[in-house]
Amino acid sequence: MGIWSAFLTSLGIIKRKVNILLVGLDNAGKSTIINGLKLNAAAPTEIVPTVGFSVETFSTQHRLTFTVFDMSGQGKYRDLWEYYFPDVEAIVFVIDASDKARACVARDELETMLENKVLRMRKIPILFFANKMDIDGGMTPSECSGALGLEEIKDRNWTICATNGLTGQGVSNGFDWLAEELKS
Amino acid sequence: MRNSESSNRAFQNLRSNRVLGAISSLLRKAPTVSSTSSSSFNRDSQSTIRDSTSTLTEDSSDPVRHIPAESKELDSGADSATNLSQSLSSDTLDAAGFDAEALSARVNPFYVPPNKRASRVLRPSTLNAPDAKHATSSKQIPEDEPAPVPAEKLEEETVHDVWMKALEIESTGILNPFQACTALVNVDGVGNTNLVVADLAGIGKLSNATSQNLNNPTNMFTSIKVFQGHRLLNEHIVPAPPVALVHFYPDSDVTPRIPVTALGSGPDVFMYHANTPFQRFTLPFIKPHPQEEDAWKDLSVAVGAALSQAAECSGTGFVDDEVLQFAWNRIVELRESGAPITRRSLQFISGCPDMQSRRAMVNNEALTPLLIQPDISCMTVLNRNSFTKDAQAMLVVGTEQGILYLVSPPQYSVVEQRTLLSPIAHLGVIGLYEKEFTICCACRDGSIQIISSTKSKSMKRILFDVLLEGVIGLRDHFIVASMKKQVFAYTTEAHLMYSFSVPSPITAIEKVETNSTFCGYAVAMMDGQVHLYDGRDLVSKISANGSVCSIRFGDFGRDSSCLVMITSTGELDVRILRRNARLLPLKPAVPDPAVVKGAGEFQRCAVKIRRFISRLLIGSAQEMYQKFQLDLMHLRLVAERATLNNTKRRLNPVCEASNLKLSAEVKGFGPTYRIYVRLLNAGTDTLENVYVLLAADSRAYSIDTAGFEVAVLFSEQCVQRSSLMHARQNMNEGVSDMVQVFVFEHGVRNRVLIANKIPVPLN
Repeated sequence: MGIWSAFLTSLGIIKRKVNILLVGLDNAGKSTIINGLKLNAAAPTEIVPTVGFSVETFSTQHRLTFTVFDMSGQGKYRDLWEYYFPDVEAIVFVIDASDKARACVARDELETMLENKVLRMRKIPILFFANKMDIDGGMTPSECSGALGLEEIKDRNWTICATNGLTGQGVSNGFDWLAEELKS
Repeated sequence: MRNSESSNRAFQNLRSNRVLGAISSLLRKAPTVSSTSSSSFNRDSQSTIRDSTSTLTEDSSDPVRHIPAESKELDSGADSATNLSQSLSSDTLDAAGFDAEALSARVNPFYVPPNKRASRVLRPSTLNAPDAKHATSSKQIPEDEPAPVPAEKLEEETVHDVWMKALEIESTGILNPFQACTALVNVDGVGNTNLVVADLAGIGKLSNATSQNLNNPTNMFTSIKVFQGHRLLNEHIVPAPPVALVHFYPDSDVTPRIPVTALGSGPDVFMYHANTPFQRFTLPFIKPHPQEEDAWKDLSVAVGAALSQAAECSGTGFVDDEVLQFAWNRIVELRESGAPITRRSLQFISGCPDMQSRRAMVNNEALTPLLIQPDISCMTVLNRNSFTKDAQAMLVVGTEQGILYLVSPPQYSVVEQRTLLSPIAHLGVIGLYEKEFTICCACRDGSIQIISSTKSKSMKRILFDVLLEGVIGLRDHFIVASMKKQVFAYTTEAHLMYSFSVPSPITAIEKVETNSTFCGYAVAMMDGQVHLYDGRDLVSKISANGSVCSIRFGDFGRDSSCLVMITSTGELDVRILRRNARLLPLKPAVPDPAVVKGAGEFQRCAVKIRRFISRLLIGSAQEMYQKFQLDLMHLRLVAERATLNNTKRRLNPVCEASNLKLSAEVKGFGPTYRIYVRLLNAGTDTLENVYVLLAADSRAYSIDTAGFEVAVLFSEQCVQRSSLMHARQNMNEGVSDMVQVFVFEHGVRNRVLIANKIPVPLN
């Protein structure tokens, strides 16, 4: 970002661009959450599993433009996540709160992610979405936090939000927090 | 307005971070403080994690703010730890002109005074704890006095690290789980794999049970249960007790790819497609033994004739007793010869004590054709032309009658069948049907028979001294689990690669193939242990809560590499293998002298080299010695038998020793005779341990003294013995036979010196 751009950004004339990595296990609801955030776009009737990754851009009210890298959560594509760690300024980790059995897999992936060399150097914030809260019998955000061992993350800022990807409930709260973190 | 508020908050955050940074730098100056406080932090179970988070999250819809690390250590430590750290840090902070508690309360809106805290902070090491139970079991150990960790516990920790505990359900409603009737099937074809269990006597949903099923006690509540995760998704009542459950794709090009779940029961294979009953296939009838078939054919002809006579009012309508008795004798004779006979014949010869009941039975059943229905005992799947998961496959069906069928979908026609020597209990398959395949059948007589599809269509049989528990086919060899706590590995050429013992009786064995690099197997044992082996190296150990009856590895739910275990009490335990886990041997492999060296490399070579190696394998010292001894014994036995037959049959006298003279005669007119034997040592040497044996056809004569011993026979000495012989009462008059006299020397070699035959006078 050049000086002029920085000046214009500080004046609020142009919006600052922020890269965000959206990760999580397959079937967690990452693409659904992003589709809910896209403005002026018809919601797709059926969401198919993401292959590789997809990029979406949307702007918020916080003078920020988010470029979200929606990564595929399938096991064979999870190795791709780490290639984006140097370039992103925040990570959004989506958890399927209705799937208790896979919480251990999510925890394992989170641990692997946090042990990454690049991520250990970069103290970027992590936003957790406990998705699918509309399904009965799911975990609460505190249970998700316990199942994933989030209390152990002490070297960076994080938060967890209860969301419903279908209605978009709770998603904006999370991105508000992220915007605050990124501004600071 | 909102922007200004958020900027104020950001400024506060920034300020608080700076202040906390200053505090942390001060704390870092006193290393004893941080080390003591961190050592006092208590490890606890995950429940405490939940407690601690629940104090932080009042309302689940609001985002939970996390406090950075430095402030966290200050504000949410364990009571004792915080008190200690405060007492120590307060000195330092006082010196710097700070009040730690007041400062924490000011900079952190979520700050809770120490006396109001209930939760504890976990040490970072618990992040790596595999499960809650494990974390609970770990004790608090002060860092300055590190307690020695037992080796077993250390090993257990490293072992558990590979697996993640996903599900543990105590009661699933499965009453009789067993390996053959469990499968992991993608029932709907949507990528969510289900656990399918055919329960022998599961208490199913009564609403699903039809009145017919309820009336029949043998098949009441026998059902197929489909589990999705921890909940029962579907349940089908099956018409007969199941024996085997497999899944396969019957077509190669039909999309979406939905597999068929096949359930073997009696002579039928019931197929379910997309959670609904789909098709039924019955194995063809087996032809009975020709002699038995002839007997029943005669009976049916006789019954037909008798009925036609009865219609003409000239007969009773029943078969003649002579015909009935003749057929009865023929079937009994067949039964005594050891040939398998049909159930109808069994009932005829043993279930009908008198002629009247036999007559009634024959009149009822003789007119229907005599056929045997095969009973399915095991099933497996053989891919047709590709190793991919959703490739078209065909059924391999083993039966109690010892016949192996290859059934090809979608028409479900028997394309190949082989007859084995014994009922088949387990099946293992390697290869592709259209290329080359090998089937390993574990039979009920404790043998394995390896059937190859090569040109020779050879069948190799290995007999064990113990019954077999299971067979699986890995990439290039078979793993055989025996009931004697032993595991054997055999190549497709029936060479033993290795064998080893396990600590407890084996209950189930399952193939574990995670990716292109790892292909091993899991062995479940009676004591609840499940061992994972790569070749003969133990790579992982898992402890279940009870005796594991059924174990399956594969996709479960949306995850791959899941180990699904069902214990004898119906408890479901699901473990997931970590994605980046490397399964390495726990202990360095100890070379076993009994195992042939280089056998592991066996299958990687070309065919010619493989043959050469197979020769070499036989050439190893121990194997060669054993084989030589076996061949030698065999040869000796054959030679002895041939000599005996020759001696018995020929009429000419044998005289191997020229210095011994034998004169024997039979005197008398019958039915009692007296045999006189006279031996003369005409040589100069003394003979020792000479035996004289008298032999006659036991059906014709009985000899009182069939043999006698001459301990020493000096030179020129003559010995005379006699024995009485009686003709049997049932022997007709005017018939006579021969008496054989053998003289042999007992020593290193039992050689016959003289043999002769004497005619017996007419009775």
